[in-house]
Amino acid sequence: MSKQIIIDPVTRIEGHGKITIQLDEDGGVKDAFFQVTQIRGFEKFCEGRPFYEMPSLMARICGICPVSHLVASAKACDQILGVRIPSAAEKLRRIMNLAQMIQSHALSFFYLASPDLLLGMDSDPAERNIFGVLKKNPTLARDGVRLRQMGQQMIEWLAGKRIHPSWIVPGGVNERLTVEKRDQILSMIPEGLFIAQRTYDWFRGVFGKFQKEIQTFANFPTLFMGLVDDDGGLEHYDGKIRIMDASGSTIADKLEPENYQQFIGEAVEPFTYLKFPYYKPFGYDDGIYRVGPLARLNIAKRCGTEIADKMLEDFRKLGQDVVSSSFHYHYARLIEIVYGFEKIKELLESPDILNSRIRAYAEPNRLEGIGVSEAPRGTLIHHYKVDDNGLMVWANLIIATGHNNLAMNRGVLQVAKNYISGTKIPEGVLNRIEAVIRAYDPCLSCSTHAAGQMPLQVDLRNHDGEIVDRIVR
Amino acid sequence: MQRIIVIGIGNPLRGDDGIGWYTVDRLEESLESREIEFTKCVELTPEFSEKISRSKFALFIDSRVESQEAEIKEEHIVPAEVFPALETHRLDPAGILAFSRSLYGKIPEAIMLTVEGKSFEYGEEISLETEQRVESLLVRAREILNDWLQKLRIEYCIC
Repeated sequence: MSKQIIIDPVTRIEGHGKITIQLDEDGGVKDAFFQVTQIRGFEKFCEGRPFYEMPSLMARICGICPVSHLVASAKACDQILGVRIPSAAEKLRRIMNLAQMIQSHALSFFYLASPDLLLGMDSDPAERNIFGVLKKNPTLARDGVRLRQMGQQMIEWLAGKRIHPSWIVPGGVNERLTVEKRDQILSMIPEGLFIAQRTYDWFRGVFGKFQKEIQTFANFPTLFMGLVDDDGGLEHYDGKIRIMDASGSTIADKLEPENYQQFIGEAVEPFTYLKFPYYKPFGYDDGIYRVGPLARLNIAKRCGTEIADKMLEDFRKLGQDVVSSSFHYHYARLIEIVYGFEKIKELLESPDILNSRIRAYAEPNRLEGIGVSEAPRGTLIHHYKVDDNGLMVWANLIIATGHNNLAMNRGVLQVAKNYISGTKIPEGVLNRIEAVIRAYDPCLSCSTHAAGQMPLQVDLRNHDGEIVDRIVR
Repeated sequence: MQRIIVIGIGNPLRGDDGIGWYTVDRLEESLESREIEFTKCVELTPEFSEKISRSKFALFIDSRVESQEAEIKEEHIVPAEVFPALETHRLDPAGILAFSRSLYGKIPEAIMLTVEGKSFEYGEEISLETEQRVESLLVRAREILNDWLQKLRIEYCIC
C-alpha cells in the first residue's frame, strides 16, 4: 500500500505553505507537491481604481519587498502615461531597488538560512533559528541585523519610510535627493561592503560541509531567466530578457520584457493557488526555468562592479557550464549584496543624481502598460490595462516566486527521494525538505498576493490517498 | 547621539491601532531635543535592537484591545527570558530588549505605555471614544520623558 507524508507548515519562509509527499506501493517516494493554499486577489480588486493608485496599492502585496512592486508598478504606469522618466529619477529608483535587495537578501541569508548553515541541518530545531545563531556566532547575527538595517535605512532616507513608501510614482519619483541624504547613504557603503565581504568569506568556509545538500537541493537541469543590460551584464531595473539553458547556452536573448506573453505561459494546478509559469516554446512542464540571484548570475556576463566581479569568477567555478544547485542561491545572494553596495555608490556619484528634474507629467496616453524589473527573488511583471478614463480594467502579475514554482516542486521531490525512506520523516529530513524551498527564498504572500496565516504542513499519503503521517509546525 | 528613544507601535491605517503613531507625532511636535529619537513602526523587528541598545531609556507606546486593566497601563519592561523562536518579523518590547542585550550586551531602562483602543476598523482616525484616553496618555508620556530628561541632564525645549 502506498502512503503519503504531509509537512505543514514549512518554516522560515515568507508566507506559509504545505508539502505533500506521495509514496508508492513499495514505500518509495513517487511524487511531491509544494502547495500554497492562500489567495488575496490583488489582480481582481484593483479593477475600477485609477491607474495612478497602483504603485501604492500593489506595494501592499508585501511587507518585505514593497519596493519591487512599487518599481514594476510605476514602470507599467510610465507606459500608460507614455513618458520616459528623467535620468535622475531612474537612477534614484535603481538605488532604492538595490537598497531593498540588500535588506531582503540579508533577511533571507541571516534570519532564515544561516541557522541551517551555522548550526547544521540536523541540529536541535528549538535552537535552529536566528536566536541560536546569536548564541553561537553573535558577530554573524549582528552583521545580519546591521545589513538589513542599512538597506531599510537607505529606503527610509530616500522615501521617508522603510515599509510601503510612496516616493516612487508614475513618471518618476516625487522628491529629489538632497546632498545631505546622498552623503548619509554614501557614508554607509564602506561598512556595508566590509560586513558583506566578511559574510562572504565565512560562507566560503562553511558551504563545503554541505556537499550532499548541494548535490540534492534542486540540482537538476533547467532554464534560467532574467534581465540583462545592453552588454549582457547584471541588471535589476530595466534591460532585456535573456534565457539560458542548462548547458550555459543562451537560447533566447534581447527579448522585449513587454512581450512576455509570447514566451511565458502560466499553467494552473488544482492543488495550489500558486501558478506555474513556463517557457512557452518548450511547453508545460518541459519549459521549467529558474529566476532570482542564481539565475541572474548564471545569465549575466559580468556584474560590472569590481568586488562582485571577482566573486563572480569564484562563483562560476561551482558548476561546469552553469551553477545548477539551488543551494547556491545563498552564495549568489551574498554576491548581490556586495554588488548592491558597489552599484549604489556608483549611482550616487553620478553627476546628475541631485538634479531637480525627477518626474515626467502627462495624462494617460496609452491603454496598456507593462512594467518588468528584477525583485530580490527574480523577475517581476506587472501588466495593466485601463479604460479611457485611466481606470483599471485588468491586471496580470507574475511574481518572482511564481516563476520558480516548477523548480521548487521538483526540488522537493529530489530531496524527498534522496532522504525519505519509510513512512516517518525524521526531523533532519523535514528540515532539508523545508531548506530546499528556503533556498529560493519564496515569498508566498507576494506570489499569491495572500492574506492571513497559513502554516506549513507535510502530508505523507499512501497509494490510496490515505494520510499515514502528518507534520504540522 | 540619542539617549532616549520613543517608539510608537501599531498600524496607522487601522483606527485606534494607530494610537502609538499618533501619540509619538504629538510628543515630537511638543518636545525638541537632539538626544531624543522619535520613531514609529508597524511591528518591532530585530533591526531596532541596535538603536535601543545605545539608549539610556526607551519608551514604547501602543494600543491594546479591550481589557479589564486600567485605562492607561504602565509597565516597566525587562528582557524576555525565552526568545520567541520563529518570530523574527515581530517582537514585543521584552523580546527586543532580550535581543538587544544578547547582541550588544546592554539595554536601557524601558517603559511601555498602552491605552485601550475601541475601534480597529480601516481608517486613519482615532475613534472619538478613545481620544480622551489618548490625551491622558500624552500627559503621562510627557511626565515620564520630563523625568528622564532631567535625570540624564538633557537639554530640551518644550514647543
